[in-house]
Amino acid sequence: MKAFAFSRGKPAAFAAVFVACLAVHSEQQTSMPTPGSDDPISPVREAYAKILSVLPRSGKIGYLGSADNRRYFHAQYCLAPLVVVRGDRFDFVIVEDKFASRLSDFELIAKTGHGTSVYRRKAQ
Amino acid sequence: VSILWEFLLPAALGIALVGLYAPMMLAQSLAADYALRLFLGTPAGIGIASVIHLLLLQVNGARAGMLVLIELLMLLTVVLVTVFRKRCAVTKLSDSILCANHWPILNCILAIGFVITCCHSVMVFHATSLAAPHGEWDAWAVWNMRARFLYSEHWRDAWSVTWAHIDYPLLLPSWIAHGWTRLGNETTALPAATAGVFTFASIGLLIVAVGIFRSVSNGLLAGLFLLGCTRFTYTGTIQYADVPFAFFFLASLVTLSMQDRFGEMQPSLLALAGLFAGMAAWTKNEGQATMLAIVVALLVVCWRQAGTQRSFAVISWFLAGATPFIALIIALRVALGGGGNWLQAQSSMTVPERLLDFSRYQLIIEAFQTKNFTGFYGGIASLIMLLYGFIVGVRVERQKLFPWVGIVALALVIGMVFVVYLITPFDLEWHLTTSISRIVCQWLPSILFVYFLLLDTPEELQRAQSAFAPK
Repeated sequence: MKAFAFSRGKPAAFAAVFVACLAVHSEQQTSMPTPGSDDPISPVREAYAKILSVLPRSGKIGYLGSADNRRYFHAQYCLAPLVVVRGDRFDFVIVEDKFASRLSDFELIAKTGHGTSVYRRKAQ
Repeated sequence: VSILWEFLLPAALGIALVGLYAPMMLAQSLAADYALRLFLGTPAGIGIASVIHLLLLQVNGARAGMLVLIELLMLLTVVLVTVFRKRCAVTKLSDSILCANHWPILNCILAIGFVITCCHSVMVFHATSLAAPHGEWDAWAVWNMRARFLYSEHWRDAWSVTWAHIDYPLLLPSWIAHGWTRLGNETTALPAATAGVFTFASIGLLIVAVGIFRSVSNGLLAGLFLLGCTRFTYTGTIQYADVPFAFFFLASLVTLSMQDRFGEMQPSLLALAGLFAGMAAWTKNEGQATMLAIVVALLVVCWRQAGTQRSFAVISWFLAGATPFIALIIALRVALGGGGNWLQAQSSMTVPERLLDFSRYQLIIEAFQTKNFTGFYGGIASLIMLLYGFIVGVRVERQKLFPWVGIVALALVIGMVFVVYLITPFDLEWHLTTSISRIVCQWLPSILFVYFLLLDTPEELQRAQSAFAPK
């Protein structure tokens, strides 16, 4: 058993170096991304930053838009700590432009410039 | 620079805390001992800082000055207690596991390869962080969003966003909010830097731990392989919590394995292992299952090796270390009033029906196979790593508690995940596609640690060859 072990020292070292080379090679296959190339959030965040002044500082606001949750989730992330809830039962509602016609008793108060606008319930 | 400054005080607190739990030398060389404390301590400090921030929110609202003051006071207290404790009793290492450096050329080659790979990995990490500064989906939709709530005065509203997995634990969000509070703004650089700390601390800890227990060459090889598994570093880069969780899981196993290096039971080391397991549970819900797996593994292995009394003593100390985080998790659960969306989700199939559907077993096994042997996890290097193991052979005779605890814990964790996939109420294919590569990342450093602990080393084989060579 020991005699077998003696003959394994150098192959083991070669194997170690070979694995290392493969690991290095595998790691260096990774492409270097360019800044902002995979960032859907920053433009949305900039757009929502423009309308923060017309929104309340806390509490809940509504969101009216398509069933695709992505834009709704973006709005929630960008507007936190405001809680954005689907529906138009609140005084302030973020509306995707295509859905603006569904609102009644609301007035437009700001546009994000990113396909959404802010509406406020008209005073009774 | 201000971001690095933000890490300094929590890192000092974490390193001091590791010193309090482990005042004895943990390695034969001072350099390895300091490196181990650095890699264990910095993320531990992040965990402690997250708790301090959350508790201050509960009391009076977290303020930057108050955070610094409390952390400084804690640091001072921990250092004073450690100095006093060191004077009382210093336990000596009872073994000599560390192999001498018999093969400097091999180590040099591996070290050069590691430095090249690590530099490239850091560059890719930096570039990816700039490409997606808010991280990928889970990062911004769960962790960073919750951090934005915790940073504000209206932090309790975080739990009103019911779709954002409100049952998830708070180590990362609370830490990021802690950092933003101290910095005074919501910079995206902090979550990115945190991701970097956890990713590279995992690699560093793996190298140092395998280096201490086996040899420098095996340590470097393990580190290189983890770097080569680009999915691991990528998951870290996109700010997912799976890499911090992987770190704490590894840290718990490493600290447990240190137990073997001393002749008698070291309660403080067991408590430190429990503390890291607690932090894993405070990072992701999977951590709670992992902690349970480690407890069961400790119970089984200790009971077989040392009897019932000893196994209960070991588990008591381990759980004592984890207690602060267990208490936090229970408090969060009680405040939320029940389980998360996974438990509440419904499916058209009942649990027994899902368990008896053998096509689900096939799907899960195929998903594991595909993900484990693609380039993301080292590709062909995985197979050659197995071949390397075959060449150097297995050596377990010097290990007592470990690596058995690690093997049993990993087997239990993998088994639990398998069962979770089997009974998931969500569409299985969707669930597998969206989670399995992240889940494997959680285990990868620990699997490599246990694997390399089982292997012999080229240095030992060469030394044996020299010793028995004809003169």
